[in-house]
Amino acid sequence: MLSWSCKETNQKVDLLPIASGTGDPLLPGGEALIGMVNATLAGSGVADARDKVVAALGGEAAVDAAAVIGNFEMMNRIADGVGMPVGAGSRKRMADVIELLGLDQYPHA
Amino acid sequence: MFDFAAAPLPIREDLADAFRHVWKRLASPGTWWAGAERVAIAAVARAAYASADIPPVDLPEPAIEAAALLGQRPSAVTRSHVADWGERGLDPYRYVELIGVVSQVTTVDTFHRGLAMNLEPLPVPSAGEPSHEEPASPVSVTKAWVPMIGPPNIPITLSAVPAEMAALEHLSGFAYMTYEEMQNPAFQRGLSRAQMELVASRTSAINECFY
Repeated sequence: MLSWSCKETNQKVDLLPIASGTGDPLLPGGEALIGMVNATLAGSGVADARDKVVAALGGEAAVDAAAVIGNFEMMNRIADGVGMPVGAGSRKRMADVIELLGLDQYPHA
Repeated sequence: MFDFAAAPLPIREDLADAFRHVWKRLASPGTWWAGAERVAIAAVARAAYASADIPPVDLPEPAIEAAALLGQRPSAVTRSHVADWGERGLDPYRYVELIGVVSQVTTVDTFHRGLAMNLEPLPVPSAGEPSHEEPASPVSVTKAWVPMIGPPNIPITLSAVPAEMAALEHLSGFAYMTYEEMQNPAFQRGLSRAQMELVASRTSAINECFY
């Protein structure tokens, strides 16, 4: 979805920071957003990470980031809890991303 | 409940309302679990997420194990776990509802954690009996581990328990976006669509979730 939305809106994105958790993904405020996800899920340095998003993108963005993190904590639990299979079509369509981000190493891949 | 007057940032009222809806449902009798059981499931998942001691709760042992593992490390759940829980009495419908409860509470809690806010206290359970509502369409187990109304697909993951499927869609529409809004690559709230997907992708990467 990230690659698709960037392609459709003519934005460049570097996907590697998604896997590594560090670096600039090339989207506005991207580094701060990745830092907020890291801090939220680690439970450490959260206020500082939140404030960096506020400084980069504003308070509304920080609130939405927290909501999206929450939403995907939900979706991850659902997908993993029901044993959602990854279809052959998805694998073929996402082959380059799977290799780049090492998604095949995940337990449910 | 969910009074964000003292929050560090202004919180969207539609989001606050969505969280109140989650809490109201959490406290109420569900499809297969009573309100007290649903709140107990939430308490177990919340404690496990924080690596805290699991509180004493009146739940069957497989339900405690499932709520704890889903709460703490969902990628560690395996087909064998689900089969074992089933053999020990946690039938697939109750398990699907449990997934719904754990995942929705985790959304609300994670939102609070992300903004460095205290967690909302769990609600006081309401009395009443579970509805035992069956899905309108037949369900079957195909390639996933639980029954669904069709081939496994994200929008029907919890379709064996329609009330949980509807609740998931409702919450996700406010915390992320609706299925209709997902068709728009330029959808924007406080974040652009691409920024939202960046946050989603990093969250899934940490959770080692393919989705």
